[in-house]
Amino acid sequence: MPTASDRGLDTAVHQLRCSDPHGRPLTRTVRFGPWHTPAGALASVRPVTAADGGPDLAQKAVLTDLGRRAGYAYEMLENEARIAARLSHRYDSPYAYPPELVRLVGYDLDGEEPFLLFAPPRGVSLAGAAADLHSAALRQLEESLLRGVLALASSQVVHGALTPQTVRWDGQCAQITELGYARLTGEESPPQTTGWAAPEQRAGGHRARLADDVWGAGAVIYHVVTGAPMPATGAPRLTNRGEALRALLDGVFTEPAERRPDVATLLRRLRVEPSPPDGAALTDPAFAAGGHAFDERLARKRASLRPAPTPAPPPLPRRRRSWLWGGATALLLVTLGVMSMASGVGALLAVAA
Amino acid sequence: MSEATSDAGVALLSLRAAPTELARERFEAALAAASRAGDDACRLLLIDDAARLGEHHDLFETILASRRVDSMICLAIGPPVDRPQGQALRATPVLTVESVALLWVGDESGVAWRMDTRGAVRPPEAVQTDGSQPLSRLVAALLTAEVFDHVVAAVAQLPNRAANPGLRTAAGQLDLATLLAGHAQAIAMVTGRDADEPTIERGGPSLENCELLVGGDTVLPGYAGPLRPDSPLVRLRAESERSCREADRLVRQMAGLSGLVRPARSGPGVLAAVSTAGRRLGEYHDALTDVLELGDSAGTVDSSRRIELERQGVCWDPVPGLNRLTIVARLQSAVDGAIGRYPLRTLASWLLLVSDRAMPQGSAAHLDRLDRLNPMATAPRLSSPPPLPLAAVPAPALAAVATGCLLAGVVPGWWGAVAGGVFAVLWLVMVTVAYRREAAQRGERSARAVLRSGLLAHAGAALAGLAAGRAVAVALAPTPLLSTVPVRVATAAAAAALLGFALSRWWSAAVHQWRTQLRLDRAVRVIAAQDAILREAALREWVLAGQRSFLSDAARAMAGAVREVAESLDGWRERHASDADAAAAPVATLDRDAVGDLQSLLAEDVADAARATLAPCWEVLRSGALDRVRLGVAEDAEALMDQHRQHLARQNIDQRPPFARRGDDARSPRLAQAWGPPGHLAEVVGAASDGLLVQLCAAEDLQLLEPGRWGTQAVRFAPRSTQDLVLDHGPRDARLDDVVWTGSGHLAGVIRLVALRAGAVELIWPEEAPDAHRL
Repeated sequence: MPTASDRGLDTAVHQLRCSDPHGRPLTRTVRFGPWHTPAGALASVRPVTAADGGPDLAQKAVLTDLGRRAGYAYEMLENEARIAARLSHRYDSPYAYPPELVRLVGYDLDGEEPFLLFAPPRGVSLAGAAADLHSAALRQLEESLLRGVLALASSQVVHGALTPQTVRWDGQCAQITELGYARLTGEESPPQTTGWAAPEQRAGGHRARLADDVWGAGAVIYHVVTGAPMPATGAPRLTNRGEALRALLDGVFTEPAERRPDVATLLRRLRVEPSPPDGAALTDPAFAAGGHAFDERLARKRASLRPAPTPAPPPLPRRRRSWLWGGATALLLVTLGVMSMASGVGALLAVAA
Repeated sequence: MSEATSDAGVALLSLRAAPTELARERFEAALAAASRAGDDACRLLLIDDAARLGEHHDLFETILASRRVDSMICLAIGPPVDRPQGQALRATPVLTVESVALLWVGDESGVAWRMDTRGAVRPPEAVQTDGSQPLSRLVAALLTAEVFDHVVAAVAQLPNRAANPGLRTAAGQLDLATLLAGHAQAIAMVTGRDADEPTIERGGPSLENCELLVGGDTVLPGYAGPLRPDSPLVRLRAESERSCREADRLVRQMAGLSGLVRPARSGPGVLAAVSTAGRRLGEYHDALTDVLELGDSAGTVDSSRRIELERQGVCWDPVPGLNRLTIVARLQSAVDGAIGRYPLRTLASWLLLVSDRAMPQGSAAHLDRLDRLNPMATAPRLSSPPPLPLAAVPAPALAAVATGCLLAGVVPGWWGAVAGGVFAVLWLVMVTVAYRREAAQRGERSARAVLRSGLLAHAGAALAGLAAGRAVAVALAPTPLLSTVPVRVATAAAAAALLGFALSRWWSAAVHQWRTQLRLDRAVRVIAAQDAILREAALREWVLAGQRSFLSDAARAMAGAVREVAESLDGWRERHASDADAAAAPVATLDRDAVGDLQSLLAEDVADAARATLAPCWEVLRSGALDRVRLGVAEDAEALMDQHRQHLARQNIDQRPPFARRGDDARSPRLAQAWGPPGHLAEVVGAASDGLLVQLCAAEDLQLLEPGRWGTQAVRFAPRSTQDLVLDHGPRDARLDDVVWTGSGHLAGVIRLVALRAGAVELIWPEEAPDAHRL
């Protein structure tokens, strides 16, 4: 099987082996498309076309070159796998997987170039799409995005990096992608520096909370409706904006995190019933077991990558030791002798002079 | 120069060094070029070798007989055919007919010659200081229709219809590299950068008559409103308001002694009216809440909702001046006017702001405003009003009743006792009535309730006052004055007045306080405010929802188109950046001299290109295909920039590009500093016709000319756009009265036409015609 290092278009058929989100072996017969590494991204992606009648996929991997330059890319990928697996466990059959979330199909974190397999993301990213959406589509986008955030929140997952680049739109439904920065609520989350992140996320030592994604979703909605980017610092001004936007985002940017309206409130402002999608209960033993199994595999993998302690060199044999001591002693004596002779000659010369 | 071209009404045909058999083809090509330029009345500038005029006799005949040429200037270039004999030209008589002018150029470079003094000749550079070729300038000037016509007319006045030209000219042109650099800067100026929030929030040009759609004033002249006068909602409002006003009137009527005494004024009717007012207020609020929720759609109201809303009284009559065509027209007017005044990216941001403000939010969003009026705090209070706050033991009233009874009983004898007693009893009766009214409001009708109300305190005060009065009476018994009738009447009257006043104050205070608690006046204001919210919601979220959605989507689509134009222009500029790099220094110099004139001129052209690119988008908007507005925008924008670049290369800044706006607001291109230092242009155009000019012949051929008053004509010319530059500099010069103002071209100056001496032009017929004679 060719490695995930393929760079060019490959028309050959390959067997792709990995594990599904439950850890079961998964084998697919596929063709690979070319790798593409978006600017600033910490992973490369490529399309994977099914050759076995199954659905097409998207592969995301940390290639060797990128991994050498940015070692934390591996951690990001592993974290994404962890979070995506959690969502897969929660919304697995018989429940319907929310279309607003990217879906993990398989993963292989043990290889030289670890990768994840996703169902192909739908539509296009919202970056630069402000002017393409009419009012009805905007309303649909707002509702769909907030439903996605609700689906994450009900799984105790905080995306942490909602931006126009990580949210896609296919004309009917939004889709939240890029779970590399996602955390479970209460976990320490990496600091962010952009205006898309809530102020508390930009400060260090922040623990993920659901209010982070309310800010993020609000920022995406603000950008798509107004076409304006989020200010680098501070909150965007809504005073001269339209009534609909002001009403929807009231308090999102002005209230501190603990008083920020939650995503259910925003949905009610859209006159939408904020009912989260059905899924396995977080206290369901099977759900917890799936998460533990994944965490154990990950821990084993990290342990296997830890370097083995270097053994102490064996002691030298006796004969070799005695030869060494003898040699050292002889050298010392010769050195002293030479020095003595030199000083004696020097004295004779001085007397002669 | 090209063999056959056309420029603004003058066809150019050059026969120099060309075989005779190709001459006719070139003539046809010249006329075809003129036709392509859209010119029917053809003027022909024919350039030929002076030695070959006879050879081309047949062609000249053909040209003049063709009726496709109205007038012709034949520029014959070459040394004199026979200098010793004083012959400059040998021509055919065909060139001497009316409407033909024959100009002989003996030397392409010419000499600078002062005709008035006929002094020594100078090199042509002494006059033409910009280093240009005099013959090229002459040809360029003759290719301007107005100059051509005046030269033909001037030569016709000369004795032989033949002349030798002299000239002095100035050219208002910039080198191409400077133009391209200026073009790049103009594009950057027009496209701009992304606007910051304060700039966006200041807003762009107003949308005339469409402010209502983006949150502006809701008052529309001539519009009856979104609710029918006979609608259920309007009736409900009227009933609610009437109930509140009626209840308030009845409560006010309760004040004073008449309100206490007359049962109708303070009886259960008042309570019923207040309760009814509260109920109506609640019903009205509920009705508004229901209808706002029913009609909520955040966009166009569907047919089923609309039917129900119409049944409730919403009127969907068209709002004057707010249909889709008008909206597009207003938007186009605002955008076209803004292009050039605002950068395109700022304009795109403003359009998105318009889109955001125009987006309907749905009528249910107005429920919050309704709730903030808090009518439901008022309604229950009215439906179950608090009891009349009659003070149980009012100290002032008790003091008054004690004093009154004292006054009444102070008269000695039986009169004081009777009067005091009567007033005490009267007071107690009235107080009893008051307490019964109050108890009845609480629903209590028993005597115990009345007693509990404080009646005993009043009785005690009355008796105390009476007793005090009797004690005083006893003490004053020896005073006969107190027993007189006037005193008795006075004391009784004073007691009555005091008791009446105290009772009225006590009762009215309670009524006023009760009225304050009920706040019926506020309820009336709340109803009016609710009605205003309903009307605003009905207009903006129902009646105008479709127009608002359309404006929102149209503005958003145009924002995308405007941004795409900006990005295309910037992309074009970056791809052609190397063309402009070489001229960075000249542009810097130009900027210092011109203070941005070149940028303004070119920016106006680029702005017109943006408008021209967006013009088809408006048509697509009118058709409703909003998702196709941006189709072809990028390609069009780049194609117009290519065209503009080619135009600058060919026409410099003399003419505006083909896509430029025409009309009253389109000004002629004009760039002062392109014409040299101030005053230079006026000096050139006003140069004395007999002064130092470049005469296009060799020095030794000047003797072939016949200068003099009757042998010289002058044609002064300048582009119309430089009129103020020519006329406003220096003292008034009579020579400038006859300037020919041309509609196009980049040259200005004076052409001196000097007649040739007698015999300098020999007319020869072709060989088959043996007759020949000399002019």
